[in-house]
Amino acid sequence: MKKKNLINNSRREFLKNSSVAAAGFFIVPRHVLGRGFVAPSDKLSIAGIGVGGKGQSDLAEFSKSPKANIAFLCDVDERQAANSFKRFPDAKHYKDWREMLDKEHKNIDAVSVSTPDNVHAVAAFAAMQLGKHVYVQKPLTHDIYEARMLTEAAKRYKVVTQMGNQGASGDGVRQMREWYNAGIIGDATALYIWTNRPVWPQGTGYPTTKDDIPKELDWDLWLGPAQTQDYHKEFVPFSWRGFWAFGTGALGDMGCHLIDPAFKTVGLGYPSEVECSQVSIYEKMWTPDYFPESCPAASSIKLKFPGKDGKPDVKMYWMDGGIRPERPDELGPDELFGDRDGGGVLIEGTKGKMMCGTYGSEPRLLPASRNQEVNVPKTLARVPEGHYVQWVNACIAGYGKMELSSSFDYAGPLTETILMGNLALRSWNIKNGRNFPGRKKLLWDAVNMKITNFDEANQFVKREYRSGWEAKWV
Amino acid sequence: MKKKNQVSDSRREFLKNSSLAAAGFFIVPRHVLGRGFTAPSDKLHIAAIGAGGKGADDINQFDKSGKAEIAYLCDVDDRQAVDSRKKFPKAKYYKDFREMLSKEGKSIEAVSVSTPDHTHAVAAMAAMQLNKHVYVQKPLTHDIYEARMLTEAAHRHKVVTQMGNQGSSGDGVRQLQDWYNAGIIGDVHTIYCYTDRPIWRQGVARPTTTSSIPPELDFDLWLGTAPKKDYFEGVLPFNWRGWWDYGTGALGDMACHIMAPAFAVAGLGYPVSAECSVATKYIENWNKAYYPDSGPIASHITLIFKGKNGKPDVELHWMDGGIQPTRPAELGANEVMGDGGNGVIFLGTKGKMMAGTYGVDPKLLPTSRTNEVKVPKTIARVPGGDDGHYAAWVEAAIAGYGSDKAKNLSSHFDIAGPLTESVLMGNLAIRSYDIQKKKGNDTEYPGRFIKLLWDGPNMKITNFDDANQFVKRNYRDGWSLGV
Repeated sequence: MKKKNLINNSRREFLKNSSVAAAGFFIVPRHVLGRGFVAPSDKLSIAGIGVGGKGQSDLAEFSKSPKANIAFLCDVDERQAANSFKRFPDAKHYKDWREMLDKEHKNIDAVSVSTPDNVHAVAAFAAMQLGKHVYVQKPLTHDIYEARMLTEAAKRYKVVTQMGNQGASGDGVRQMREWYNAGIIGDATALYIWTNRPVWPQGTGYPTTKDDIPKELDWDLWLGPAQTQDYHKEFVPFSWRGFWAFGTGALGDMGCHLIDPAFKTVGLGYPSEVECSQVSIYEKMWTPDYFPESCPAASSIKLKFPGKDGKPDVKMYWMDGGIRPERPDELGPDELFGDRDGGGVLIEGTKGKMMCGTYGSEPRLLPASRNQEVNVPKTLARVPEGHYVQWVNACIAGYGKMELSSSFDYAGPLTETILMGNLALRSWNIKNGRNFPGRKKLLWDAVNMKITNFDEANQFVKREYRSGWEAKWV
Repeated sequence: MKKKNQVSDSRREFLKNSSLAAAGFFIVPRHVLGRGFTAPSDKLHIAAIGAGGKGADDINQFDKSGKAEIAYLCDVDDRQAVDSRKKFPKAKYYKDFREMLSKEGKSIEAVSVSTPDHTHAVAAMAAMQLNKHVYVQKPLTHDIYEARMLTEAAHRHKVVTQMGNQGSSGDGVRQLQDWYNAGIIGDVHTIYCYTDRPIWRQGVARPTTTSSIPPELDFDLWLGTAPKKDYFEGVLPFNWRGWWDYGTGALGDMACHIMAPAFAVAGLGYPVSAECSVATKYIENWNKAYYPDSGPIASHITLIFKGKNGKPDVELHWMDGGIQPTRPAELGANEVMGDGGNGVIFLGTKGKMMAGTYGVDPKLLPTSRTNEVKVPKTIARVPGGDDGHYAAWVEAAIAGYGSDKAKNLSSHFDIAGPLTESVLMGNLAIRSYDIQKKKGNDTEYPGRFIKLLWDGPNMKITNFDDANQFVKRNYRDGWSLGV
């Protein structure tokens, strides 16, 4: 409720104070425009931070709603921004989102963050502190601590939030939940989730070439809270994903998409323990490559979630880089396991199993014959407008008015789970002389965000920001 | 028994016919030498095919038994043979094992084969057909078909056989067997075997540049049964392991060591199905590497063995390249699983146990049970443990086919053949994963998303015929297994 007022207030202020205020006189009341037309004053004024690549497609999706007005475009790299600049010619451009929020916050209702992972939290949090609704690409944040802070901030600032795992608005996950809620597979005990990602070279070490910074790129701004370091052409615009300083690896890229159907269906919270293994590559005989700054080419992770309300513990197995779990017995030898891209989700329950592909696609019960036999009522509303427009509509409706597929109260714990996998991967590479003391099971005190049996792992819960980028979380 | 006579015959013939026959006069009878000394005439005359690297080790181990005479050395690469020739200066040196067997067959009683994998079967079979006892490095063969043929040949030719997975003679695997036989973990239903190998470059493209062949190397002989392709630097003496033309990847290198305890404990035979996934490498964004000539950097294989006599089916998982199974819940958070990078874990209906590579350091889970549980020793230990693996074969060969010593060998081919076939089933699945089919402009990989069903007795994948090309490869013209 309060937020609705905030929006209205800020819109009113916008009309009063902004450089565009004079235009206020020309705002046409809705009834004059006729049915299906949205008065400019009822539009959601969106600022995009990171407007190339996935940011570009996010803005394009928002703009499918007649209620969305892409008003500001911010990117540290003009090459990345070029397409969005063309597509939204009326939008004002910025390079530094801090400057944009500072100067334009009165003209902004909502912010979309689609930067490299290491910038997600600070940009989103700055927007939330100003009472802006936020749409943040997956994974929500780079660190566990940041995810917890954003989750709390959403409630504190009463802003409408959505993480960009668009599959969460698909029909597949709703079909899975309906089966599960109807008890078709009993209580879940094990979740197997796998992907063929990373689809970029990963685990190959920090680049050694020194490249000139392209003139269109503000490298210092691109780094954001990351520590100062040399520019390498490999990083921008995509392969930063494979380096811990900026990205979150295969888990960060695909974990939110793949784990979501299982996480939502089973209703998971925080894990209590995590363990991992990862592929070792030998460029030199007998000496494994050691690139702790780089995410691995393939990994296997297990998380345990303690059972709630008398339900059994749930074990989650994550495999990436092409490694898959074994096929369930109920799956015929020639039947497809997961999806053809090499990803999938298998939920094992006390009474049966079900499976889907990436984004919850093609949900099915096992064995396949059960899909014809089992009929459960559709109890969950579908999202025909899609994930992006759902958020646009919810922002306009105001905080607390509409349910979203991946609001932060849900996306936060989901992201923390994914980042727990990364914490395990990075702990695996901690070297003490010739020993690797982190190659064991790590016990997690979720409430206090602390690994209790290997203190060095806790450095990965919350990283140090570069001076000048500190956030005042509380 | 008959073999014993054959050995004696051949020793007699050796003394009569060989170029060294004149030396026969100087052979000292055993009683003159005193207790503990073996007369040269009672020693097992061994020819070593592949005399460097692991071959050199093997020869030294046979020599240490005190009952072996390293009589012939054969290597296609003079550089590899240097150390062994220095150590055994009296041994006659050949480059071509076929020539050696043909010329010296009568002077040889036993043959050790420690070549690259693709030469194992053809060299071992040639020796067995001459009724020579054989010690063959792991994996027994490169192909499933070859493993089956060698297993049968051992009986046909009544020779004493041993595969070179020396850990199978260790105490660890026998401790696991004792626990299992005493019912401590009930009936096993799942076994995890894993390794951090390959420790060489794998999952890479075959070099397109050729290098000049070193003068010490007869590359054509090295190729042996393999297709005629150009030499490239680094393919030998070690990295052939990563190329399917020659080697058998991480499975071939380590699975015979790590899966042997699984076979010994659970008494496994042929699997009924195989499935796999492999780690994918990307050359650049969205551009996935396709290197079907080379083994993958990591893999996960699942083989299923039908339960016998009312026992449950056994699901055997193999993981390599650093990927590991989940830690058993009974293992403490800070305890080491297996030996860290490698191990075997048994899940039974009543409990769990684990060990490191070769079955070393066996433990019941939780590990506190290891010392609490006492069971009788039902399985005889091999004197000297894994180091005794070599001497055991030497002694068994002297005792002859059908002797107790031969029957008690840790890895005679009745054991090693099916074990190797299972190891190679993993490779068959990995290679089937890379089978490409062009469909219009699309490339499909029909072996990637299915489980392969295996008819063990007939050596046939029944639901994906293309996979059967990996059961038995075509040898290069001029090379034959001779069966």
